[in-house]
Amino acid sequence: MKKTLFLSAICLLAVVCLFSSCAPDDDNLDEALLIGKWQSGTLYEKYEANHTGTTWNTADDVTEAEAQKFTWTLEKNILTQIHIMETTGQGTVPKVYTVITLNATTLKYKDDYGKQKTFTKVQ
Amino acid sequence: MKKALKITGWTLLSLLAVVLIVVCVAVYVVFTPERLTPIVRKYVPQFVTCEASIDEADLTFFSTFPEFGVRLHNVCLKNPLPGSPSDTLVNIDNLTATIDVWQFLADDALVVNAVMLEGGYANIYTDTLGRTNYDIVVTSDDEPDTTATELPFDVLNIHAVKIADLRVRYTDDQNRMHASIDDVQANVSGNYAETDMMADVSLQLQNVLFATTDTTRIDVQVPHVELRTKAALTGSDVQAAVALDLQRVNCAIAGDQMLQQVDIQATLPLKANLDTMLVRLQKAELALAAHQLTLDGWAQMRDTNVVMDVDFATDEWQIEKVIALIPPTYADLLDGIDVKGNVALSGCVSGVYNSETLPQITANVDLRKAKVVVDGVPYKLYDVGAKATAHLDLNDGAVSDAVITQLTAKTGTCSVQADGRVNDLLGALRCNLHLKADINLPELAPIIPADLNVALAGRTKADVQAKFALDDVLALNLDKIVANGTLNFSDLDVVYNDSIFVKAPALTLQASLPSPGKNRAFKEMLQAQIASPDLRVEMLGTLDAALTDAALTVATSNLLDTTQMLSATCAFEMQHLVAHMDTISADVASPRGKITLSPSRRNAKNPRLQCSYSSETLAANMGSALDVKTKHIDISASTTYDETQDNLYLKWNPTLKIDFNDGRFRMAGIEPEIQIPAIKFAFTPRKLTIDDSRIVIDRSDFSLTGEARNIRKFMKHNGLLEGEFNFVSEQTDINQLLDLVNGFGSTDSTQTAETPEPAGDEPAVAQQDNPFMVPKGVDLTLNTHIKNALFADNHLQNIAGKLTVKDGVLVLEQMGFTCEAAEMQLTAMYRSERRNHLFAGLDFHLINIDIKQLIHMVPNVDTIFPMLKSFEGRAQFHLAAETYLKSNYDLKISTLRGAAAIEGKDLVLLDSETFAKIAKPLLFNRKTKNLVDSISVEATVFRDEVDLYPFVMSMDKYSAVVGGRYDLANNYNAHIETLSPIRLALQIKGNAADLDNMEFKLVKTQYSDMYKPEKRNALQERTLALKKLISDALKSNVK
Repeated sequence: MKKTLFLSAICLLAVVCLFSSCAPDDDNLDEALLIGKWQSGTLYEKYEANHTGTTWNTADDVTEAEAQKFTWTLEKNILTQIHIMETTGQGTVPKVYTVITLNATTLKYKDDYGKQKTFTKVQ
Repeated sequence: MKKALKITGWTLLSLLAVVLIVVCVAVYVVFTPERLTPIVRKYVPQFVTCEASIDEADLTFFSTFPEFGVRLHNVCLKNPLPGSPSDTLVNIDNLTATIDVWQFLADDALVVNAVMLEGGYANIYTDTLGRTNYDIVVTSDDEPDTTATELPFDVLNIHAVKIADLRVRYTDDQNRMHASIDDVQANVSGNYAETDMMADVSLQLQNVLFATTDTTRIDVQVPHVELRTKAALTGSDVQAAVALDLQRVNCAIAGDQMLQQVDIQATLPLKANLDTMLVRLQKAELALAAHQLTLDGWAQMRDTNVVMDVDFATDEWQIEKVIALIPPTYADLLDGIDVKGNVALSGCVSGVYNSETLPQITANVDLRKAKVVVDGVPYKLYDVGAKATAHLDLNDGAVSDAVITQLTAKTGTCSVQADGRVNDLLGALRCNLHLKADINLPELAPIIPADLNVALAGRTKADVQAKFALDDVLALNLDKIVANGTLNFSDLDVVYNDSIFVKAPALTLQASLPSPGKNRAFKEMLQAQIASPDLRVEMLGTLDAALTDAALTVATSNLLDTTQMLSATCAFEMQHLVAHMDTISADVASPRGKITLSPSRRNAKNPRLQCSYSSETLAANMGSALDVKTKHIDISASTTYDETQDNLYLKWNPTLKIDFNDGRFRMAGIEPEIQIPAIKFAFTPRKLTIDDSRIVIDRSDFSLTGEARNIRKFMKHNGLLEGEFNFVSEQTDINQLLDLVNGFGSTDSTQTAETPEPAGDEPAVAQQDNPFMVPKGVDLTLNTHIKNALFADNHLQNIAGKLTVKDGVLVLEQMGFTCEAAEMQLTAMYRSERRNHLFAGLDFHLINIDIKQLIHMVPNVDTIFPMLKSFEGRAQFHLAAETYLKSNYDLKISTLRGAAAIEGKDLVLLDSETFAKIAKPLLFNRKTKNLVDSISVEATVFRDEVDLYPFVMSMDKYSAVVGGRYDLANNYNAHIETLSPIRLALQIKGNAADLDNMEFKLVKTQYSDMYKPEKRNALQERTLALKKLISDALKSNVK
C-alpha cells in the first residue's frame, strides 16, 4: 500500500512538474510595463497605452517631436512593431521582436536574427 | 482951310482952357478938402458899422483924368475883436473913386466907375466862434429905421479897380488858417452894359503866405503870383482867358516839404454860360515846374452836382525831372532807383462831382525810352517803354482798371514785353497779363542763388499769360491764380553742382495753373509739360541718359496746401531712351508711362502710388546680374501705404499687371537664359492671376496659368497662400526648375538644441549646405502635363498629375508617366522642416519595368536590393520608402523606412561568383543565364536593416525559398532552401564585399512546411501574414 501511495505521489508530482514546465508564466508579459519612454544610447522608443509608439535617434539630429510612428502589440513575449510610412499612409514596415526582459526599468528584446537591444526606461 | 483949322484949333484950346479953369476952380475952390471931407465922413456910418476914420477927402481931376475922382486919405476901419492881431480892419492910404462927370452934369447922377486903393493894409479876422471883423456893412437888419438911405452916389458903374501896395493879413482862428500877402497889385478894368460885360484883370501878389493847422498843418509860400484874366460876358455867355503864374512855390504838409521853389503856371481859356452853369475849357494849359498839362473839356453845375468831361494831356515829361519834384519825405521810396526817360500822360475826367461822387478818370500813360537802374538788382533796364490806360473810378463800390497796351524793356541781351489788363486797380488788383521774353540764360546767373550752384547756357523765349489778384499772389493762393506759360529753350546746357548735366538743342516747357488735366486720383493744381527732340541727362558717375522725342508731363496738387498730402503725377513718353546708371544700362524704344502719387481713397493721410509703363522694345542689363530683352511690354503697378501694418507687404499693398512678349532674361546664378514668349498676369494684394505665360528655360518650355489667392492672409500669417496652376510643357527639365524655386520663403533653424556636438572626426552640419526648402504657409497645386521631362537623367514622357505644395510639404501626387523602361506612377513627398531635417518619401510603382532601368532610375535601389543586379528582364516593382535627410541630402539612417514588392516572370538570373558559391552546395546546374519562372519578393527596410521575406524562386527544375537579412554595409545573414528536387538549406553569412570569406553552410531546413497550410507553424503563419501586409499596402495605391 505504501509503495502504491509513493508511486502515486511520484506520478502526481511528475504530472504537476510536467504541467508547470509546459506553460511557464514568464511568457505572458505585463504590457503596462512597456508603456513609457525607453532609451538605448541615442536611440529612443516610446510606447503609448493606445498601442501607438514613436522612435527617434538623437544621433541623427532628430527630436522627440520629430519621432516616427509605429503601432505595437505585445502577445506573450512577442513584440510586434508596425512602422507607419507617411508616404503610403499606412503601416508598411513590420518588425517582430522577442522580449527577453521587461520590467519597470529594463526592456530587452531580440529579433529573429538574434540581434538584441537593451533599453532603460527614462520616463 | 488952313485958317479955318487955325480958328478951330484956337477955339478948342480956349474951350479946354475954360474947362481947366472951371475944373481948377471946382477942385481947388469949390470942392476943397475942408468942404468935402465932412460930407464923406457924414455918409460913412451909413455904410459901415465899425469905427471909421478918414483924414481927408479931396476931389481929383488930373490924377484921374479925364474923370473926376474923390480921394480919401488914410481911410481906417476899426473893428476890434478879441484875438485879432489888430483892432484895425483896414487902413488905406489913399482910396480914390472916380465919377462920371458927364452923367453928373447931364443927368445930375453921381456914377462911380473906378476905384483905386493905394497903400495900406487889411487885417481880416475870424475868431474861434466864427465872428469876423469884416462884418461891418450896414444891412437892413442893422437899420430898422425905414428912412430911405441916401447914397452919396446914384449908380455904381465901376469899370476899373486898381489896388496898389496893399498888404493883407487873413486870420481864421475858427478854421485855424492864416494867410498874408505882402503886396497886392491889382488892376481890374472892364465895362458892362445891361447884359454885357467885359473885364480885364491883372493881379500881382508878392510873398503870399498861407498856413493851416486844422487837422494837418499846411504851409504854402509863393513869392510871386500873377493872374491875368480877360473875360467877356454876353448875355449869359462868358468867355474868358485866365493866366496864372505862381513862381517858386513852396508847400509843406505836416512839416514835409511837398513843393520847393516850383513854378506853377496855368493858362485857362474858357467859355461859360451862366444860365446853364456850363464851363468849357479850350486847351487850357497847366504847368508844374515846366511840366505841362493841357485840359480840354467842359463842366456844368447841375443842382448840387458838377458834371464834367475834361480831356487832359501832358507834353513829354522827363522822368528824372518829375522825380525831382517828389517831396523829400517820399524820395526815400525811390532810394536806389534811378529812372530816366520820357513819359506822357493823357486822358479825360468825366462824370459827376459832388459831395458823394467823384468823376471817372481815364489816364493814358506813354513811357518812352526809359532806363531803370535799381540798386541790388543786377540788371539795368533800357529801352523801357509802356503804353497803358487806367480807368479810375474813385467812388465807393466802383472798380477801376487799367489796360497795359504794351510794356517793353531790355537788359543785356534779354528783352521782355508785356500787355494785359488790371482790374480793380485801387482794390484787389486783379491782373490779366501777357508776358513775352527773350532771355539769354547765362544772364540769369546773378539771380540764381550761389549755393544752388547752377550754370545755365542757351536762350529761351517765354510766353506767359497770367490772371491773378495781387492779394492772392502775395498770399500764394495758388487755387485762385490762372497762369499759362511756354518756355522755348534753344541750345540749353545746364550744369548743376558740377555733377548733373542737362543738354538739349531744343526744349519746350509749358506750365499751366490750374492744370487743364483731368485726374481721377486727385485734383491737379499745377501742370508742366516738357518736350524735347533730343535731351541728354548726365549725373556724374551714376546716370547717363539720352532721350529722343521726349515728352514729360508733371502735375501736382496745391503745393502750399498743408492740410492735405501732396499729390503729383508724372507722365512720360519718348521715342527712344538710352540710359546707363552704374552697372545698369537700358535701351528702350517708345517708352511711355505714368507715375502718380496721391492720397489713399480709404485714408487720405496715406499715400497711394500708381505706375504704368509700356514700351515697344526694351534691352536692359544690370552688369552680369541681369540681362533683359523684351518686345512690347505693358506694366502697371500701384501701392497704397497703410501705416497700421508692420509687414512691409501689408504696409504697401502692391498691385502689378504685366503683359509683354518676346522677353529674354539672363540672371546671375541661373545659367540658362529665360525666354518668355508671352506673359500676362495680374497681381493684387489678395490674388495673383496668370492668364498667360509661356516660358522657355534652356531645355524646358512650359506654359503656366492659374491663380493664387489669399496672399494678404498669407502675409498676415492667418491663412495659407492658396493657388492652383496649370503647368503644360512639351519638355521640362525638372532639375533646373527646382533650382530656380529653391528656398523661396523658408526660414530655418539649422540644428535642434538636442543635436549633440559632433564628436571626433564626425563632420558638423555644413552651414553652407543649401538644400531645397519648401515654401511654408502655402497651399499650391500645380496640375502638370508634361510631354517630355528630364529628371535625374531619366527621360520621362506624358507626365500628368498634381504637384502640391502645402505648408512646407511638397507632394507629387499620383503622378503618372511613362519612360522607355516602364509605365510609372509616383507619389512623392518632400518636406523641409529644418535645413538639417528634410523629409523625403516616395510611393513608386513601376509596371513592366526593365530591371536595368529600374536600377538606373531609382538611386540606391541596388544598394537596398543588391540581388536586383543579378536579374535581367521585366518586373513589377512597388516601392515605398521614406527617410529624413541631412542638409547635404545624406540619409539619416535611423529614420530610413522602406518596403518593396517585386513580382517578375521569366527573368534571367545571371551567373556570378556569388551564384557559383550558392549553386555548388545546393547542387544547382550553372548556366550563364538561368531562367527564373517567377518570383514574388517582399522586403522591408528599417534603419540599416533590410529584411528579405522568404520567397519562392523556380528555376529550371529547381524550386527554392530565399530569405534573410542584410544591412547597408552588405553584411548578409541569408537562408536559401531548396524545396525540390531535393531539400537542402544553405546559410550565407558574411560581408558580400569579401566573398571569399563569406560563410556558406548547409543547415537545417526551415521552410519545409511554409507552403503547406495545414503544417505551418506560428512563425511561418506570421511571416506569410507580414508578406501579405507589405504587398497589400504597397499595391493599394496603384491606380
